[in-house]
Amino acid sequence: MAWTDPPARQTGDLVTAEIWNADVVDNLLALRAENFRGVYDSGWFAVTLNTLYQKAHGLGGLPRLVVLLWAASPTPSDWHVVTSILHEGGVARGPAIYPTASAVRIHTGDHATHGTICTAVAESGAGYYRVVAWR
Amino acid sequence: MIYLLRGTDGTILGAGERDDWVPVDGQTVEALDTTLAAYARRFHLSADRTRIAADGADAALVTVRVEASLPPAEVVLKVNGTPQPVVLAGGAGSLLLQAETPGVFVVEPADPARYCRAGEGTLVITAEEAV
Repeated sequence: MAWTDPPARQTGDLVTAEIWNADVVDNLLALRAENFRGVYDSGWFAVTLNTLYQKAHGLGGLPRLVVLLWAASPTPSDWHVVTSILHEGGVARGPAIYPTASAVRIHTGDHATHGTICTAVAESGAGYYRVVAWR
Repeated sequence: MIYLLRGTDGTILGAGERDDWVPVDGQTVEALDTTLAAYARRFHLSADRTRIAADGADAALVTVRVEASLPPAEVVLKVNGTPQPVVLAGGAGSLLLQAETPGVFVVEPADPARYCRAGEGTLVITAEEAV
């Protein structure tokens, strides 16, 4: 089912069930199918450096988008998007996030002080991650 | 309920409230009847400051808290890999860190199979060049 631009209706037009279903119901179903196929939220979980974490996302297919968040506590008042981590030798890299159709895999860096996050305002070799994935 | 992720040597690698770990490379999962916030209090490191001057005088006071029904009298921390016993009173103890040269102190539990170094179980103190 795909989106179909509904034609403009005029006051006084007879909107039959067939027209309503084509204009509204089918298009809503198409929007849902294309955009709201499920979301996974891991909640906060404690992490450490140089570790492969794998979490089952239950989305029934490969996610289209995965976002990784970091916080200093399991009940944070703020959080950071993990855009970079550090490896021994000082090599800054984006975090390794590589999902499959059934799980999200994340590998932390092996740097003791920047292995789980390395940004201008947050650095740590531990802390808490939260994974949000959309299919 | 929380779910601990352990490595092949028993090291606690992670802890979360969802039962969705998919263990890899010999990892195992263990369920515990508590919350993640309560579990984080079982072994917790904090400091009055995380940056000090490397002048041999400036210092950071590291506090370790161990919450248990019968708290131990001592806990062993590792500071940059060197074991450092800390005496506990009522589950809390402290450690003073000073440096004469710039660098970092990485403080973590010496027994990562008993105390979780993930989450709030690792602390970093940076010693900066004195000006």
